[in-house]
Amino acid sequence: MRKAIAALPVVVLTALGLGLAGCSAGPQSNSGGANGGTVLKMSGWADDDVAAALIKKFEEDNPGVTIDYTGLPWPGITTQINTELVSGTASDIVVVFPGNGGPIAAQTLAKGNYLADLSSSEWVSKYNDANKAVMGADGKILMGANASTIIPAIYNSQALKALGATAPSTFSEVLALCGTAKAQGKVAYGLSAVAGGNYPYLPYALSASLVYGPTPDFVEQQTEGKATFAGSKWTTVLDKYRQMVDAGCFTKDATGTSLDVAQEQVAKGDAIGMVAVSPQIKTIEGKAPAGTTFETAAFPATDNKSETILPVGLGAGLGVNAKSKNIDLAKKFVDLYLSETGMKIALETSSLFPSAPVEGYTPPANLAGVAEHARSEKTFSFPDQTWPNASVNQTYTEGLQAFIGGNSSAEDLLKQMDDAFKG
Amino acid sequence: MAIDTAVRRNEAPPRKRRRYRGFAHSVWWFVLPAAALYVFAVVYPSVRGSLFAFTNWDGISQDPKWVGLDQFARIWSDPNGLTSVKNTLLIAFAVTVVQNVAGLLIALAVNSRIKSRDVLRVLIFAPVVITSIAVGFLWQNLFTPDGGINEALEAVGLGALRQNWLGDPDIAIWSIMVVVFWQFVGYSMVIFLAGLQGIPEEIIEAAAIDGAGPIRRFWAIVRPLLAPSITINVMLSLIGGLKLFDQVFIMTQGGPGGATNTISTLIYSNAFSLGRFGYAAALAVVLSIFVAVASIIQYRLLALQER
Repeated sequence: MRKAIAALPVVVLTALGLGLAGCSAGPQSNSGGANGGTVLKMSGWADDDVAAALIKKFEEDNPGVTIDYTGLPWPGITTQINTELVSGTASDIVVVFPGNGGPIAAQTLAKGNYLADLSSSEWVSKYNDANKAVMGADGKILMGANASTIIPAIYNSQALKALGATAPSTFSEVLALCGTAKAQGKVAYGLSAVAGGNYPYLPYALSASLVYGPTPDFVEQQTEGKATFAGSKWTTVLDKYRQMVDAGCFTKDATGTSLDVAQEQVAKGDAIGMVAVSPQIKTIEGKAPAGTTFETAAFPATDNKSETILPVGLGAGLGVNAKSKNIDLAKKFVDLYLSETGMKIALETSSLFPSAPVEGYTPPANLAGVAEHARSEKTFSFPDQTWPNASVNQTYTEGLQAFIGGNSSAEDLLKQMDDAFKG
Repeated sequence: MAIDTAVRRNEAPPRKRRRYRGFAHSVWWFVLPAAALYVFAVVYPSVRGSLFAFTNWDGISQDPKWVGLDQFARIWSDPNGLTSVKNTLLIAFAVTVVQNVAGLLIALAVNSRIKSRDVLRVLIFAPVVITSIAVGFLWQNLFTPDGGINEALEAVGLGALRQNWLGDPDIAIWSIMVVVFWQFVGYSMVIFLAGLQGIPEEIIEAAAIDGAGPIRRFWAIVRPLLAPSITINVMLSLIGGLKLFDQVFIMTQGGPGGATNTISTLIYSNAFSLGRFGYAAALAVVLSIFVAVASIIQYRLLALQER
């Protein structure tokens, strides 16, 4: 009896250890699902209709294979996928961002070899070198995205018409629009300068024309120590932003205004437009009264229309967990996602701008103003996708809030960004 | 005496109670499962996590380098680090003082014989049971430039007092403290109320008959008897203030321009947004030290008072 009592803790601890050991698992795909088939795990966006349509097609094409989809909301999706990849418990197919700087950006994850090499995939050849540069690291392609994101100026067509104005194509016209809107008790551009707001995008649009378009190798120059933010046209970018703030172009008290409120202002015509990423058009449309239409235009930085460069970057896409037990099957799904068939399924399901040419594609009316420009040579990817670490973007977004609120100067902000760039 | 001694000699030696002294029969075996779980779930991860504070681990790479105390030194040279330490201490101090003073005053009020005391108790305690996330979103809406607070000020003719409550870096931290106070004052009130209801009425009545006024009765009788409630309330609010995260993260995410960062929000952003796990671990160690030191000091001081 005594021996039994003495052995009890050992039994308890063993059971505890086994139980806890069971909490950790390897990559999550497995063979032998409910019907004896293969189950692929996928971690994607919550409420993603495109993913649902693609999964349906993939399961039809691959009998016996099912995809177990986990939809994750922003911003938790970044921390969850990152943590799962590092701990070896990630899904076979995961959302990956292009470039560097975020927890699930391709170049960040490349440091730990967490993503499978997709370089030999057929779809890789559809992308240009600028795209490929942010789709992986060290010559490997680690992710692909089916959509490009554009940073246009989005205008409420009825509000614009009511002012008797058209979408500005020069910076002077931008300031003139601000004056006209202000005179009629409106603001020209809705602005949310809180976390998650649209405030970082307007300087991206200005910097495309003023910095990165004229000097495409600006980031390389910075890396080599030959250029700095503070010593570049970024000073002009922030000067122009300041001019717009001073001219009353933006939502009052933008540093306390949520993105939701700023979008509503545009939807209802209280603000004439806003500079934001193209996927936000759908959200704004959803808040607008019936019959309201929206149009887009490249945001000008100078008074010479031909100098306007449009920021076009790859959107978030998919990658394959390097530790997946069904790596070939997972790659096959990514192949479908980026194939002509997959792109067409996505276009039928959602209003997006495909990252590669799709036969017969007609851009939606709200992107017609920038679609041709986006396919031309006069584009540049978003600067944060080429910055060497996440701190630059963090410094930029935090410092820009203080700058907009009048609590920091352009010089201070750019100097801090230079320090962050050095790491 | 001799007989007594003889009797004792003839007595069989008292039989010693058999006691199991060996480790195999120790009562510690009963503690072991819980202790093992605690070590596995709390001690081991804490120690392991603390060790990252001495490395430059980015959360991704497999070979973190040992950097000694560099991450701790960085806290004092990082403007965000200094701001977060300052904000954390300010919030902990202000919330502890205001929440406990107000909680005590409210408890005294609702412990009286006023008719609406039960309704008031429920109303004041209600925010405690709302999740911090919901509270954060609720107040974020109220604090927007066109939100309820500014609308109410306009409605009562105080439009001149309109503020950008969460967008002005000089005001935002105080707005957050108002929310924390609003949410948790009911918690303090309940603990004080329980303490007050444990004080015998007769003692207070006797003091009143002896001529002690309300202030004298409170200071000489109620306050000493409430000492345990004060201890627990101060400790909980102080620790809660030092660890504050949810409300800040929901309402401002540390903005505008990092003006409302606390150590907890900075730990989160450094670990999960910037990939600076080493620096985040150093901040977490500093926060743990703050919590431990503050708790020990105030516990000792209040224990003296309880005596």
